Amino acid sequence: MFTYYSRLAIKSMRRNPFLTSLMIGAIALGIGVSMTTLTLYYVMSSNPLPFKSDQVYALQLDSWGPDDPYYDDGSPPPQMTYRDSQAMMQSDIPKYQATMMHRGFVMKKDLESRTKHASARATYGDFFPMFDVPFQYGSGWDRAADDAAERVVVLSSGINNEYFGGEDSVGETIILDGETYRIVGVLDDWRPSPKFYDLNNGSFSDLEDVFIPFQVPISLEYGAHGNTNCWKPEEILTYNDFLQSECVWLQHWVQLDTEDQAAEFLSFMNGYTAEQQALGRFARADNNRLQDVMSWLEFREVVSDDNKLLLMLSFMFLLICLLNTVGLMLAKFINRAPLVGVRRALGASRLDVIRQHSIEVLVIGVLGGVAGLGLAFLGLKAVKSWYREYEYLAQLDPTMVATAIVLAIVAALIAGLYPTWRISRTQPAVHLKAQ
Amino acid sequence: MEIRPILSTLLRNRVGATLIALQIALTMAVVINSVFIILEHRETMKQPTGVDAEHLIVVSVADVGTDLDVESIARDDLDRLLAIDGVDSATKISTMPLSNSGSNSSYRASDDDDAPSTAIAYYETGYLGLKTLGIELTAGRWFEESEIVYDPDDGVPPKHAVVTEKTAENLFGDENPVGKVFYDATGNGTEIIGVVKTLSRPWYNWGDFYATMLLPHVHLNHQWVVRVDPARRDALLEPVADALREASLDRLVGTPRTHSEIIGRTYQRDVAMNRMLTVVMTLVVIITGLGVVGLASFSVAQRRKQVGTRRAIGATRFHILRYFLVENWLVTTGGIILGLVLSFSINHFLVTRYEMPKLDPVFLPAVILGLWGIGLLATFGPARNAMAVDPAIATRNI
Amino acid sequence: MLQMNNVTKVYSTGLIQTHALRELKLSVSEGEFVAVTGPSGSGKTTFLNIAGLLEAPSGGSYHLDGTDVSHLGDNERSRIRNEKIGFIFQGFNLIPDLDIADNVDVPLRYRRMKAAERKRRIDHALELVGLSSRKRHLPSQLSGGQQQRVAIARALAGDPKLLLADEPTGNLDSLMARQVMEMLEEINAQGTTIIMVTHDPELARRAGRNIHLLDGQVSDFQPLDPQPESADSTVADVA
Repeated sequence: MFTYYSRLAIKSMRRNPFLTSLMIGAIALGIGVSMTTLTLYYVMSSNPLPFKSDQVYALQLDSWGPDDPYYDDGSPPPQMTYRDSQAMMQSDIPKYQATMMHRGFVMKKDLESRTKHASARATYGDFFPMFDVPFQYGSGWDRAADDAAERVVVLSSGINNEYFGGEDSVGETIILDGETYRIVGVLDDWRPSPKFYDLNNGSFSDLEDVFIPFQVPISLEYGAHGNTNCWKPEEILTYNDFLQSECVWLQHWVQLDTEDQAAEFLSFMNGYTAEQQALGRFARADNNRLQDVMSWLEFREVVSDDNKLLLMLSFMFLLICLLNTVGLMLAKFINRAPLVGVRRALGASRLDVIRQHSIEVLVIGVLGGVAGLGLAFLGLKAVKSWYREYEYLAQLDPTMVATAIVLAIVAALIAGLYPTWRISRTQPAVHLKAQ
Repeated sequence: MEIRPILSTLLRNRVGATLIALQIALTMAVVINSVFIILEHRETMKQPTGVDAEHLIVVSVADVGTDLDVESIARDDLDRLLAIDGVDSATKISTMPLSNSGSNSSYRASDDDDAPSTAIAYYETGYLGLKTLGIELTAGRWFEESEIVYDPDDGVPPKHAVVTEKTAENLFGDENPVGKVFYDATGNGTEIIGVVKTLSRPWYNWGDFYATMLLPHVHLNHQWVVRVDPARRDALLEPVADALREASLDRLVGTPRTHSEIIGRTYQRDVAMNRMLTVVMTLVVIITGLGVVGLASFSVAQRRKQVGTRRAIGATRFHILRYFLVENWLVTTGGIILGLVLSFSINHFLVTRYEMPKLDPVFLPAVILGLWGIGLLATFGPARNAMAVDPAIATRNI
Repeated sequence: MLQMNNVTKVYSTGLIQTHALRELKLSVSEGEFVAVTGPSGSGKTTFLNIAGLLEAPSGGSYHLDGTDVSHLGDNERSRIRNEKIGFIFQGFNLIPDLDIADNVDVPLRYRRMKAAERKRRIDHALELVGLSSRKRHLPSQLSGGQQQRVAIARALAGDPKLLLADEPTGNLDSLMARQVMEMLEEINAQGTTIIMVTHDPELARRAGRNIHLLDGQVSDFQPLDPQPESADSTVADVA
């Protein structure tokens, strides 16, 4: 019966191409628009560390001044001072722990080659295992290299491709700001999105070109390219003054495998706060936080209010398209009531009528879904060309394709519910008399 | 008018009328909220920066080496730049308006620790800054060439500053700011020697947009901003970068960009959002219009016989047209009333949940008129078909 | 075959009640050819709708082929319509976007028949009405008489026990009307019971028995001359 009803559906659709294309078009547009915004939303709110996002935490230690809290709602600052991050690094409760900063270097492959700008992350060796960073060659560095501020470097696969043609370059050297660094590892393709560990330079910015031990820029007396926020009026004449200041400028992450560990570490933080208060620092006790990756992204509002609003408006748009389809289907089905009357007289039960019309609705839904997917593809292309930061985001993956088709069919079935029910109530006798 | 009979017909055909009214209501809510956000973004983007953005080319430079003489490098670069045909002026500067990166600090009008502080974003630049950027000086004077400090030590406060009118007002209210001294957090004083009309901050999403000042400092890593003839601007991008590249082998010269492009990138997200909202809004209107056409055609087709009968008993073509238009107008108006309620509820939700601004009903009449227009336009075609119905249909059996 | 006892049908719209049938008593035996006549508004159509299980009676009882069908649900009634009853309408009521064979196919589809069996029946029915060569034509490509013959083929394809015809020649010219009438007589001769609603006295006269409806009741009983065409027709009682 399914093929029979499908054939009937196609015949019926061909009978009134204008109305049919209007219905398919309405569903397609609704799906196209809502899938475009949903894809953006889905990618923006996706989990960049899917297997351990609830074991990896951003540290928020409230070192902010007594007058006002850092955030209006009382939340602690999103970054750390140098001295506090160093104090945290002393704890051996976390499985992995890394404080970090971002800055630019002038990079050369060797003395003869042209210089180029390199974006660098200075961090601890724990960064790589903590964030499950994949390596193509070699590995990160150990705590000894961290402590000695060794001139070692991990390259991104992009830089390794450019300088070494993608070959294993471990043991080779590059030059950063005039100093020679030994390559210890080359990353495989890795693009955490959102770039959760440092949201200062855009939530979806590119991966760094090189990774170096945290103490290297400190020993070079470098500041960070990011946000540096200070609350305390204090004389900062030397780099050491800066390191000892109350300015927050470092991102700090820990991995705590169990809830017990997390609780233990939080009480370590609170104990540190109490200690510092005794020394005359820190205005707020027990206002420290451990935020796992997803709650961190939410706290930092990676998905903007504008995006949420756009999503809402596009689902209202889908609703309008559905109402439209309900009206058109109703018109179409009611128009056909006399023929349904004939079929009823010839022995079709209500269920037969419902089946026949549901399949027509289904066909319209599938066609609308496929067309809508095409529109979403175009929509995402347009969005990408309008906003560079979305470039790597706006892609339809299989999940979204399936979502689009299912959404279209569900939408069409919902739209077809009332018209189908209505037509199934056709009294067979009413329409049989010659009109 | 024949409103009462039309209404009672509508009430008997509730489903169709309700569907149209709901569509109109939702359309209205989408349009009003989209227009509102679009206008908000436009308002933001319309704020002037105070500089002649369309004259300016910006290039970053990074010199590597030890014991570099910042002043002689800067003077050498300047000579090279001014030698290019079409370049009017150039200066080193710490950052540019709306480039999305810069510095901001707290200052007080007196060195009393308890005096209220105000945040000022600052630009560090050279003696050609005023001329290059094209800022308007309204009081006092600009920095002398001799007042510029090259490669100042960390923590050394500037002696002089040129502030915006807004900054002057934040610090000293209505008093004449020229000659007055303001203080940083550690109590170092800086004297105001001049006032410029406007100069925006490097960012637009937080703080007082025009609370800025200019300081006479030049650092090695400051970028170059070059003033050129706007007509030749794009052609001069590469020559400018080349001139800076030629100065030294150990130098990293960034991609030259026009200031307009930099501002465009900063606003990219807003522009993209506006485009998306515009597309959604346009499609909503088209879909709803087509929906009205579809349902009106259906309703006309269903009532051909009735229309014929009306014609047979004396209704003119105009009466028929009017009947359908009035019917649609009633439905649209119902939808609009519902839409008003919906739009304001959504806005209320947004205001409380997302701290969005409250809906300003200034453009409401335009939206209402537009929806009426779309409704009537969409009904007009089908209603004209109804006009053409032959009165003889009434007496025919099939 | 068909037995109606005190069947009433009341239509209510708002405050007004219309009695379309009042305690109708009537029975038709297997193999009969009965013509139902009566003026406009006498209840002919209502009678046909109830007889064809398109509507349920408001009161009274109705037995069809030995089963009480007065209180059946919608699904059961659909099944009986499909299996036991064939309809022929004044307006033919063919489905315009299905070709001739597909139109005849419709009731067979609802019977969930195997494709081969359906094909056999379609061919047979179309052969019966002489339209085998037009299988793939659309209804609009046929004349009115041919369309009505398709409708007859569609009614016959399901092998019904009872054929209900509503003014079957009403939209046809006299030549075609005669052809259709002859075809009905032939079908009746093969044993199918036929009830035909008409207001054409000449047509009615050709039926085995005439029932005259007036105000929703059987008003008169007119025994007819013996029919040369249907030898085994019996005269039914009207209780």
